[in-house]
Amino acid sequence: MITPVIYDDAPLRERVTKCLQDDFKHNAIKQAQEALGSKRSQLVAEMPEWENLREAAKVIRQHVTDNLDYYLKEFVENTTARGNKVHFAPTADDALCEILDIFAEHNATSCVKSKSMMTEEMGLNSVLEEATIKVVETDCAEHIIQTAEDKPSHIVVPGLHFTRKEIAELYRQKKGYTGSDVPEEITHFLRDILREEFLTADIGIRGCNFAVAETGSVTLVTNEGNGRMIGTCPKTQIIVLGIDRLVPDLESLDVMCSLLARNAVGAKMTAYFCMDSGPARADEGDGPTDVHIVIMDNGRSDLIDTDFEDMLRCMRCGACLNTCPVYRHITGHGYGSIYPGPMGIIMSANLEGYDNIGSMPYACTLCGACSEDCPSKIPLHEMIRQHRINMVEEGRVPAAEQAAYKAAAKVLSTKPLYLAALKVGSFGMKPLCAIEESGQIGAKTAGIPLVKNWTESRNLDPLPATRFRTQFAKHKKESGEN
Amino acid sequence: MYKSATLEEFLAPISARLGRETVPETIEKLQVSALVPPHVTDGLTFSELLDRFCEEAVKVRVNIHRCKADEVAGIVASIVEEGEGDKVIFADDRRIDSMGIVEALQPVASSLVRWDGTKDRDECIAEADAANFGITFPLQAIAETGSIVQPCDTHCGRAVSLLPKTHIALIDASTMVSSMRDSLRSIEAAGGENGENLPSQIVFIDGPSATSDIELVRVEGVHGPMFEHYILFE
Repeated sequence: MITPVIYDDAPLRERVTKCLQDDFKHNAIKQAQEALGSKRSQLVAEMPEWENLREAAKVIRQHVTDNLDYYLKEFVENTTARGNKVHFAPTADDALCEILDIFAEHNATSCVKSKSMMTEEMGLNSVLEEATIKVVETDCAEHIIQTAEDKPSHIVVPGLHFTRKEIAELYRQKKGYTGSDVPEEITHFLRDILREEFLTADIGIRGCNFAVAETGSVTLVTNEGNGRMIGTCPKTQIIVLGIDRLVPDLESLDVMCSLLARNAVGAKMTAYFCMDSGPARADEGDGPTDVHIVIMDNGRSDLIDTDFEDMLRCMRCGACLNTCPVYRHITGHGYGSIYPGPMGIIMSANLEGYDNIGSMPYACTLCGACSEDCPSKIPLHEMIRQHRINMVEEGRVPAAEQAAYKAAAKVLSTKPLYLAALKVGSFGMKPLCAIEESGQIGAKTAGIPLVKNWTESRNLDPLPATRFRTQFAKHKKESGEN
Repeated sequence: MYKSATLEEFLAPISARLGRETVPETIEKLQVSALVPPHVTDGLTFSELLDRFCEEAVKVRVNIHRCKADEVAGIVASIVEEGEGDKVIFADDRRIDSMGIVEALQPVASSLVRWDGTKDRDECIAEADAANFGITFPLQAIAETGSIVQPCDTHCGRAVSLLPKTHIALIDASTMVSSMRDSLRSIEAAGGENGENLPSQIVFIDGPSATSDIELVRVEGVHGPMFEHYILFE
């Protein structure tokens, strides 16, 4: 079912096949992974204390989860004392109602937005548009996606699946762009048309990376400066804050900042990091005079004391996407969710339930690369595995697969059957491999049951003629060992 | 009719998940400072910190100028003279006058606007939007990341370092700190009880505004400045 979180509900295999056919998209994600990943590795290598920093982040974030009610209360008290108005949203629908009320209160008919996953999660844009409120996304990639009426393929760089040519053409058709396909020229065109929007919008809407309980401050990282523009021009500001964004104090904030940009974009810092503590004072000349903070739970607190509690430590850096071999190939659109990649599988399952995510937890090799890179040490691949276990226990497995695994269990646990199967397998695979140039079993021979699901989109190595155990015994004998 | 949840209603199910009936009055706080490892720049000498700051700033495409305090005005004037357009907006800081910056800019700038937050809001923003250069005095500079720390208040609006195409930051070298941690510690100390004296916004700036959203090609000058100059004076 299509929801604000799940934007493509076609079966996983269909989505993956479609994504694999798009060479440009595929390559764009590969290049992004390589660029962001290698910059990140370089920075990590420069920091001898990296592992201790990760451990600190883990302990701090977990401490906040363990005392979530206390820190939320402390934040609310302090941010109210700073002059911010706080609204409480147990669910996404409550958040939508609160936001519509704020628009009504200010007689507002237009808004500018900087990237916020929380607003995506509640489907805010379409609700505002239904209420005839003009919504302008101001992050370059988000603006491209909004103009093209498309969906993001990455959480940090969401518009990588468009070529410069397509983007230039899009703006020629829809916004009167007359320039070339050069990214610099297109970007500066966006600067000009969006500057006007910032200066005239009634309300600015933004997310929040971390909220500081001790001071009531909210923070925002941005490279393009659109987050700063939203905090400078419109008179009214709405900040959408997830309950899992809190840190106890400014000392903890430093730990998160040290990790966030390095993990997200392979930089020591983003171009801008804003820390806001209340609305602009009366004598300031700019900045919002009214600040509304909408705090949303939307199922997050239900994770406390479950197998998925650790997910509340996630800082949304995207490091797990940038290292994931599956994401590399199937791209963000392969997941069909606004939250893609390893963190996305877990978030989507937590938010939507198993009924609405199809086989998404199976878009994972369980290699664990994500968990290795995660700045707050979330055991991501173990949680994905746990989702699979839960799905199997609930009987959410196709009948053919159940039968196949039953047969496999029998063969693998009975030595004579296992040995016979290996012999037959190795012999039977030979002619199949000869068909492909790679010498592997691939798409051309995708008619074989059982391996078909694999070989439709990936090559499979044939079983070797001799078994490992046989080779090992031979090698041992030759090297004169006993 | 939609009824808003209260703080108590919002927190009750969260407390319940944590296995308690109400929000505790106190908790055992974490000793965060004991957990956090040192930053790589901790322990560097003052002059090493200055060097590191400049190296890091260059990496994020900042134009760095190092000079004596009495050379600042001349450098600012030459940046404006060579730049695109000649309208300047600047923070209302006594050093703008004491360093002779206004004087030096008069022959090269067509308009010079001193930020005055008490004026009409729309006028303040429009003036910054029309300016080609914005000049500010950051509170601190951070060696580890090559960043500057810019508080916003009645004397220096958010728009001054954001709307003009070029931002010129005049940095007193004696305000150099090792890391963001040191900066946040001093901000916390000056912020009073629960941050009651914190400015409405503090922005940490690390180079010109930038994006890589189109085919991962880096482009500078998205919504904020295209050019970032740091003038580090001793």
